[in-house]
Order: sequence, then C-alpha cells, then structure tokens
Amino acid sequence: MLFNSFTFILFFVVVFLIYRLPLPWRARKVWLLGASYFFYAAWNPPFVLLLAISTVADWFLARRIASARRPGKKRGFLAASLAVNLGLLGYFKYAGFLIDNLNQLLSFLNVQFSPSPVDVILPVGISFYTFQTLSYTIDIYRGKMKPWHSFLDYALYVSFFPQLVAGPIVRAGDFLPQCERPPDVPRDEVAWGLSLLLLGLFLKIALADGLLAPVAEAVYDGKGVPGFLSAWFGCAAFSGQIYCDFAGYSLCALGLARCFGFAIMENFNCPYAAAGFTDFWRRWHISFSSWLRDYVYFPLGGSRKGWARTQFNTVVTMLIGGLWHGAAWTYVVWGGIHGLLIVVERVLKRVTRPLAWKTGLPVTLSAALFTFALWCFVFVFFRSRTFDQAFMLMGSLTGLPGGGEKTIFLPFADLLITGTVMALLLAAHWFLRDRSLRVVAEKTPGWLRSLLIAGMIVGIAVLSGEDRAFIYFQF
Amino acid sequence: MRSLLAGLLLGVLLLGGMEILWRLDRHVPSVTDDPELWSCRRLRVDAPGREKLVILGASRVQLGVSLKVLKDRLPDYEVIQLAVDGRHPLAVLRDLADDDRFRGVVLCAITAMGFEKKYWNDQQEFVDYFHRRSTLNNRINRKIKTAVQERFVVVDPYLHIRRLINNLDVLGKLPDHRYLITFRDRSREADYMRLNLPRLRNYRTGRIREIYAENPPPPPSAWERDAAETAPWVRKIVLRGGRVIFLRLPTSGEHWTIDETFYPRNVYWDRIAALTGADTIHFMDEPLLNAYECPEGSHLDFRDARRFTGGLVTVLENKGWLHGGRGFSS
Repeated sequence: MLFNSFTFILFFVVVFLIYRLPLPWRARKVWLLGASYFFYAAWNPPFVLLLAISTVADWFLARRIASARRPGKKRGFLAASLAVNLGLLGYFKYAGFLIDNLNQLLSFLNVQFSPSPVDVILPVGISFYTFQTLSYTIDIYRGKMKPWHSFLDYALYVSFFPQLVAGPIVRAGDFLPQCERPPDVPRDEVAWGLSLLLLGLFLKIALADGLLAPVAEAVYDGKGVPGFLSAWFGCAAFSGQIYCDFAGYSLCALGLARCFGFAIMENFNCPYAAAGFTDFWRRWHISFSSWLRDYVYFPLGGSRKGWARTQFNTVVTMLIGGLWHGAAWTYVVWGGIHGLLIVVERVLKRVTRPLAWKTGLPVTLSAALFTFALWCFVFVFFRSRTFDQAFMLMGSLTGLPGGGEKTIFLPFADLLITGTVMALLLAAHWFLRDRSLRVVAEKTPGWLRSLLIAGMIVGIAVLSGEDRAFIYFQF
Repeated sequence: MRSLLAGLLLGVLLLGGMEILWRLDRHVPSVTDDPELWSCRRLRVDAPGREKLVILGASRVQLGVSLKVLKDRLPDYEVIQLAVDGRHPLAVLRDLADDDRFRGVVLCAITAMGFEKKYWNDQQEFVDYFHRRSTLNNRINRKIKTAVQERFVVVDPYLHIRRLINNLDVLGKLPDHRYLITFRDRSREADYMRLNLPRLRNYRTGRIREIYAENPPPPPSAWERDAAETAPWVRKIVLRGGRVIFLRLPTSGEHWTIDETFYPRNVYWDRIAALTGADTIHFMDEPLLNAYECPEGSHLDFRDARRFTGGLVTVLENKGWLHGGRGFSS
C-alpha cells in the first residue's frame, strides 16, 4: 500500500496504537514484523515468499560464513548469498532485458534462434531488500560484525515496513542494536515523526504529483519537440518531481520509523545545493551511494591502486549504479555519464589546485547552480524511453531546431508553477545545506511551525494530482 | 506536539473555509474516474445476486443513458457502467466473453467505426489493470477516496491551481462551474446550458472531421471481416444465457451528416446484426429515441438523457430483450 493512501492511514493508526500498548518488547517486535509482512502482502501476496526466502537464506548463510574456518568455505557461502539475492534480482528485474539484448545480438550475428520474451511482474522493493540483506552477509564475511543472535530482530530489520519498498537501504549494524531494548518514544518524538511524515507526503502529493509531474509529462510524453524554454522547464520539473517524490518517501520512512522509536539514516541532504558531482553523490540517495562505495567501489580497489585505476573504479561503480535503477541502456548511460563527470571534476581540481576552489559564496553558489543545470541536462537519459528521445530533448535543451516536428510550448501556468516551485526548492536546499532540519524546526517559532503544518495539509488536499506510485518503487 | 496539533486544526479550518467559499460560488463535487474505479465496478459483474445489465461504450453512453432511470425502471437488474470516455469498447466485450461467470445483458453503445480491428484494444488498459493490478487494498482505498470526492469540492482537480492560473491567464477569470459531474457508479450528467454551445458545436464537428480525415473508413469488405470476428464473443455470451445488444446513440445536425457521409448506415451499421449475431438498435429506427437534439451534436444533455433512457427501456422491453421491468407511461 502507498504511504499516500487512506488505507495506509488506517493501517498505521492500528499498528501504532497496538505497538504503544504496554506489552513485552518481544511481542511488540512480533507485531511490527507481522504488520510489515501484511504491508508487503498488500502489494501482491505471493511476493511475500521472495522476501521470506531472501531473509531466511541470508540468516543461515551469514551464520555459516561466521562459523566457517577455511577462507574458501567462507567465500563459498558468501557466493551462495550473492547468488540467491542477485539471482532473484536478476530474474525479476533483468531477465527481460537480457533476453531482448540476446535476441538483438543473435539477430546481428544472423543466428536463427529467438528465446521467448519474458513477462514477469517486478516485485516492489526487491532492489532494496536484496541489497540490504547482502550488506549483512558481506559485513559478516569482512568481520565487521558477528551474526545477530535473534532471528526476530533480523527478520524485522529486513522487512521493517517504513523502509521496505524504497529504502533507505539500512545497515544491519545501525538497525539491529536498536532492537535490543524497547525504545523510549516520548510524545515529542512521535510529533517529530509525524511532522516528517507530513512533510514527506506534502513533497510527494502536492509538489511531485500535483504540480511538477504534469509539466514533466507534457514535455517528455507530449507529441512533438519542446522549444528551448519548455525543454528546460520540463527537465527542471522532472528533476524537482523525482527529488520531491523520492526524498518525500524517504522523509515518510524516517518519520514513521521515529514514531516506532527507530532511527534510520537520512537519504537526502539538500542535493540541489551541491557544488560539483562528488558533493552531489554524497547528498543524493545517500544510503545507495554509500552502499555502492562500500560493496562495489572498495572491493574494486577504491583509490588504493593508483590514480588511473581510481577513475576506472569510479566509472564502473556508477555504471552499476545506473543499471540498478532499471533494465535499460539509458539508465546505464546515465550512470556512466555521472561517473565521467566525477572524473572530470577530479581532473579539474588537480589542474586548478592553485586557484581558489569551492571557497567564497559566489563561487559555491555558481558551482551549485551549474551542477543543478548539468544534473537536469543529464537526467534526460534517466527519464527518456529511448536514446532517440533523449537526443531529441538534448537538442531542444541546446537550442537546436526541431526538424519539422510540431513544437511543444508549455503554457504560462506551467512555466509559472515550475519556476516558483523550483526556485523555492533550490532556495530551501541552499538554506539547509549545512544545517539540520530538526535544529531549524526547533528554532522556528511555534506559531510559524503551526502555519507551515496547516499549509502542508491544505496543499496535500487541494494540490494532489493523479494517484501515482512513488517513482523509486519501479526500481 | 502542540504546534503539530494546532497546525492540524488550522489546516482543517482552512480547508473548511475553502469548501464553504466554493459552495457559496455554487460549485459541486464530482468523482474522478480512473482504472481503479472502473475495476470496482467490473468486480460487480461476477458478484452473485441480481442479473447484470452491463453498459459498454464511451462518453456518449455515459452521458446519454441515465443509470438512475435504468435502476428505477429495471429493479431486477444490477446496472453496471463500464463505459470509458474517449475510447471504443470492444476490448471490454471481449473480456466479458472470456469471463465464464458472466451471463447477463450487455448494452454496448458503439459506432460502425468501433468495429475496426485497430480500435479493439482502446479500452484494454482498463481490462489489464483489473486483471493484473487491482487489489483489495486498492479497492478499499478507492472507495474511501470516492466517499471524500463526492462530499467535498475542495479536493476536486477541476479547481486545481494549474487550472485556476491557466483560466486567469487565458480567459481572465476563474473557471466556470463544472458542466459535467461524475457519480460514484461512474454515471455522468452534463448540463450543456452552462456552455457556449455554438463554439462547442463547431469544435465537435471540426474534431469529427479531423478524426475521419486522419482515419478514413476502410472498404466495406475489410470492415465486415473485422466485425465478423467479434461474432464468437457474442456467441459465447449468448450460449451462456446472456444477450448482447449493440446500440447506436443519437448524434445531431452536422455531426450526424458527417457520420453518415463517412459511414453510411446501409453499408456499415445495418450489417452488424447479420455479421455478429447480436441484437442491434439504431436510434433513427425508434420513434422513442430519434426526437432528441444533442446540444453540441454528439452528447445528450442530462435532462434529455433521463427521458431518452426511459424510451430506451420501453424499446428494450417491447422487443422482449429484458424482463422484470416496469411498464412505461410517457
């Protein structure tokens, strides 16, 4: 079920009220576990089995890894964990993509063999919970942690409903210790959690779905070629949409977890105020980029094998990051471009070392605006259905003529709304870039907080557009 | 916690104030249609109980056939509206044919154009959503959402800020009241007296000309082949004890003239009964149905829709295609 649904409100109220009863801690954890499985089953009941398989397999494999004496055996059990999780992910997410590409390759080689296309439903959240359980087994293999003593705690860690279907990708070392003792959740913590939930829903329902998605769709899905201004506003709208959608979801997850007394990591830290792409990827989808760093980049050698190998490792990591987002070459290209941008940035820093770099407000602000513009430009590959569409849009963004096709012009209302929302969003990111949201909220006068909360409630009610699933559910 | 509660209260009060202002300006609520709402109605097709009378088609039947009148006149039937605005309906007919549990009556409002194979899948998206994506959770959520939408104007997307700004920019005023209202059973009523009819009529006739120019009718032989391929669907339903009735609803004035120019009925429509095995009703053949004027050429106003539907029920009863209906007195 979606966070932005009436049924979720009913679900949350019931789960929360029973959780708050003075029951033994173990019983409350069982209740949360059951509620999480119920939450997942609401999407598609049979897929609960996949979640269970991933959970049980990695629980036992992690114990085998820890108890194995010979390194070969340890590696074997780790390989089994990788096979189970990546196998599930590979089949459900990439089988169709692999078969399509195989068909194209065979056709190119004039080989007369066409495997039947695969039509499988992608289980929601599979990209997230498989990575989560993998981080557990890998950390045990590396000796960073010991296998957890409680299967209940571990199962709850994997399936905890606030972060189950779209992250943040939580590390076992951060979550499991919180299961040892019942948390103290005073009313103010619950209020903060509910405030984050409300903010997340406002970003998702009012901004992403209600205001920005229609503009992005008018440009990306419209019949024709957008004009220069419309292309930029459409791409900015999509950048705003995906941030508000995904960061909104993450805020909901954080807020819900807080209500139950669990702290999970922030997933976004004002990415649209980033100065440069190295900075950007420390602020965008933080749980995923740190996962890639720890489980792909470092095993490849990280920055320990020379400058050239470091850049190679960076690009490969970002290519994998792109592929994780979807089974299409456009995602891979998008990831690869980001890898190259990071490399270019490093080269520029080396070359311009004597000059002032990232110091002073004008330089940082200019760098942030340039980074945002470049992010919007490259994001075309992420949103476009085909390379043809991506190149067509890039042509519009650079002012090239449309080749005789009908030109799409966004109406004044869409330009005004997008410009206003994006300006406010960028300003908010700039203001909060080195500040904690909670600290800012606590320093805000009570009457202003109430006014903002009222504004968000009104915004959710009157600005909602079509019901749309959170974008990152499809990953 | 205090500021959160104060904010919640203030938010509710603000929404209440906005609701009152919109109501004072005589705006009324309307339900938004979507595949989930359609699925909720589609689910009723297989529910136990009264015999089902399923309405298929597009906007013309949504506006022109009053579900309220059908329900009043035919209490032995459960009336289910499965028409989808702007799309030809045969995908749903095919789905009902494949549904072994369906044995009711299908009243399918369609034009000759709708029998061309390239339009068969127009409504398939709704059928696919029902079979693959509609879940109990989604249906419960949709029911709650419907209950909210039919009670509150303030959540109506018709009054969304994008539309408000657009209207102010282009027309210099806020949007007029809705002329079209959708109800929870997916029935609709249109009050054309609220609109600039000459402009709308011109738009409609221009649009139908464009549609026919971009999609000229196929040769009669090709069209007949396509239409005949729907016969097995009709047969499946009839063999289970059901009935399929194809209904040609009224169009008026220049719209009707253009329709007849491109799809003359003696070449196309009049062949449907023989090709498909279904029953057919053409509005021009029935005195109770052919005296209505569509204000913009293509759809009936809600006032006429009620009378038209009464006439339609009488026609169906006189032909013996329905049972258990009350007698009609005009």
